[in-house]
Amino acid sequence: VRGNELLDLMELVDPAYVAAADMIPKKKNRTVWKTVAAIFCVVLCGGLISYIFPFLSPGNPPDVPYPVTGMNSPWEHEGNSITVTDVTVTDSYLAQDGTLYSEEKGDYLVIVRCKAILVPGWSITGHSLTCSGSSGTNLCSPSEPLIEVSENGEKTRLLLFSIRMQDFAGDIDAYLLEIQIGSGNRVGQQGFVFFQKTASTLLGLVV
Amino acid sequence: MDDPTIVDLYLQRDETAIQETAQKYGRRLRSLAYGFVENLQTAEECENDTYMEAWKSIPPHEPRNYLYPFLARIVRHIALDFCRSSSRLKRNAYICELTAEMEQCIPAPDDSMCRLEEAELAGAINGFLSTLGAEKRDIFLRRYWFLDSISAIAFRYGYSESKVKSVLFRSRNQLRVYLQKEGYDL
Repeated sequence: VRGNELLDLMELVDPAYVAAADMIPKKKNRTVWKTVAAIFCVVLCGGLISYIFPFLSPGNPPDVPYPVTGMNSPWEHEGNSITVTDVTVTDSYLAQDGTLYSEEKGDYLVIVRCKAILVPGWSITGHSLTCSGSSGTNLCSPSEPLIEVSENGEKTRLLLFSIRMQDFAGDIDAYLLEIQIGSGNRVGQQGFVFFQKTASTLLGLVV
Repeated sequence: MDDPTIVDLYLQRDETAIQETAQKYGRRLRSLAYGFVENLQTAEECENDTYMEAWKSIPPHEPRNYLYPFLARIVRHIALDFCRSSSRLKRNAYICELTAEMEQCIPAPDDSMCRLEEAELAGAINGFLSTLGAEKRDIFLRRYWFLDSISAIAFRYGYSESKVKSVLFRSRNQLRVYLQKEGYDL
């Protein structure tokens, strides 16, 4: 038997098989499965990479208990940016209205210096500081709405927060600073996490 | 008109049987023939020859329950002969390609001393096809019964061409092994 004869002999196969092969097959939607498999692989690879190389993974160190707000629209698109330049803990502060905040009076003061470059029409609409420690989590009271000073020819905003130590017993381990900006109906929010570095300075982690 | 009635017309030598056949299966047969010869005029000739062959074959055959496969087999045979006899048709080279592929299924080179009866070999091929899964069997038949191109099969089943080639390659090897195991030295 040669190949051409075998090809001819194929006509003797069971008619039922021929009829079945002549039917229009149901097309399997393999694209969906491919997409699902691809997404699964990407998620798996991402998880593995962040597990093996934790320093490559963006976001918080695993022991940070705070949710940190990322950079939201319109921050990226509008050119707005806020950078925290310095965070200090002080034992006394004389506010613009003449109020003296001091440790002796039971205040624990945190001063945040930040540089805000805002698109015209945008402004800082709110800020809050949350501290966390062995006794739990507390929201600090902003002692002054917002102070804008000029340092080295650059405009810097000073954010002063006071913590009533009688409300917060124990050590403070970390802080979450949240700053909101707005323009009309549009709003944006950015979060910063700080850890205690020394008794009077904080290490800023800008996220 | 249903198939048994059409076959009865053939058996009664009623010429309306051919009209009824053409009406019911003409387009499919022509399409099938076109798939082989890729020439409309030749496909129509194949179709008409099929009716003539069916007229001669019924009786003794009585394909009441498999009229279309019966006609399809005839049209395939006629179209293949057309392809081989007419060097004008481009399909000649394609048939050679398929023939070469089928050669791979043959365990031993051609040897007139150990020729098989056609019926035995057909039985063996059917036995082999029964061992294949439905989809692999369909792909095998699309290639070697309907003579579809690889790309056409890939499109039909939603596979890539390399996947179809791979399935066919394995099926051919399986057929060769099957024939050897069954003791067929071709």
